[in-house]
Amino acid sequence: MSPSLVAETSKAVVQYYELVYIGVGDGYYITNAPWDINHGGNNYISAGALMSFDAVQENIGFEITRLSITIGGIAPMPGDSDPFLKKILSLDYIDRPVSIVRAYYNHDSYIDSVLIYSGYINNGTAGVGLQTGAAVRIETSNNWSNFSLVSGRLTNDAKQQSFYPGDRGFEYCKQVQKQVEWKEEA
Amino acid sequence: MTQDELLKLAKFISRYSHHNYQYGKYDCMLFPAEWNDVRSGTKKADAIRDNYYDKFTAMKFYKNFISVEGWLKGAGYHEIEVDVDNPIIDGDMVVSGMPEWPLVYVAFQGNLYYMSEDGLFAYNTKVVNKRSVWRK
Repeated sequence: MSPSLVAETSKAVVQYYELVYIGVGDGYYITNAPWDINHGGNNYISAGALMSFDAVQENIGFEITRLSITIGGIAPMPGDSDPFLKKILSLDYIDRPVSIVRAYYNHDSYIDSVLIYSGYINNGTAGVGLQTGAAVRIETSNNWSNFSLVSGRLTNDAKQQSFYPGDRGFEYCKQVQKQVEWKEEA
Repeated sequence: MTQDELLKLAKFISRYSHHNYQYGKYDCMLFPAEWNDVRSGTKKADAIRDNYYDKFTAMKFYKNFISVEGWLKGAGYHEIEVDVDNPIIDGDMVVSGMPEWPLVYVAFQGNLYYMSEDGLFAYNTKVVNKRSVWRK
């Protein structure tokens, strides 16, 4: 965190908004700020309070925590021959990346931002409510989950080289498997 | 409520959620009044803003001001009966509390938003005791 951000977050009242990137299709950039935000060369479209998500949790373990993002108040576009539910369900969203950046402001002046969540989509649902209109909800798992990796990955040097060439962290791990016999000193 | 108005309300709530409660600036009377101005392009909140600065002066101001129901009628709202077939929808105003100190909630996405002294909070529609519901 930059010194300016440390100073800002130390105040009694902190103004911040989240910038959400959903890596589906060409990518969706949405923010819960009341105005559009340009960040990192991308324009985050303001959805205000229509976008909500669970609290980001931190813990000391390497656990796969989950977080849901909901975008509500969606209405079919006038003259849209392709209902949005059909479009949503046709998108290839499984295992697509999601990130949440928190942008801090002081009286609407941008201070700094910090990445607070990074993960992958593992589920998506769309529904229509009588009172609230249609909504899309995506469930994500944090970046400790990597769906391209097979479960039970082998911790040997060959595997390590395939993922991280040059990393010699497991170079001598085969030595660990050797049976060590202890003898009394002669 | 049109889709454009819904997005306006979403942005209005997002902005208001970062305000501290401040009598005469950001409070329970001004929250619904300012939303109505944003929605309608009017300036009715100007008649309320900066006319009091604490709870005592706010109560004194409201005592001499028109009733919430009268204000809502003047702003183009009409009272409705809410039931299963006619539920509360986005943009409805819900009046609760005592007649001498009413609380006005704004409905949005299944919740009722109210500017309390601890900030803007969303309440489930079922937990709020409704004196009357108003729609535009």
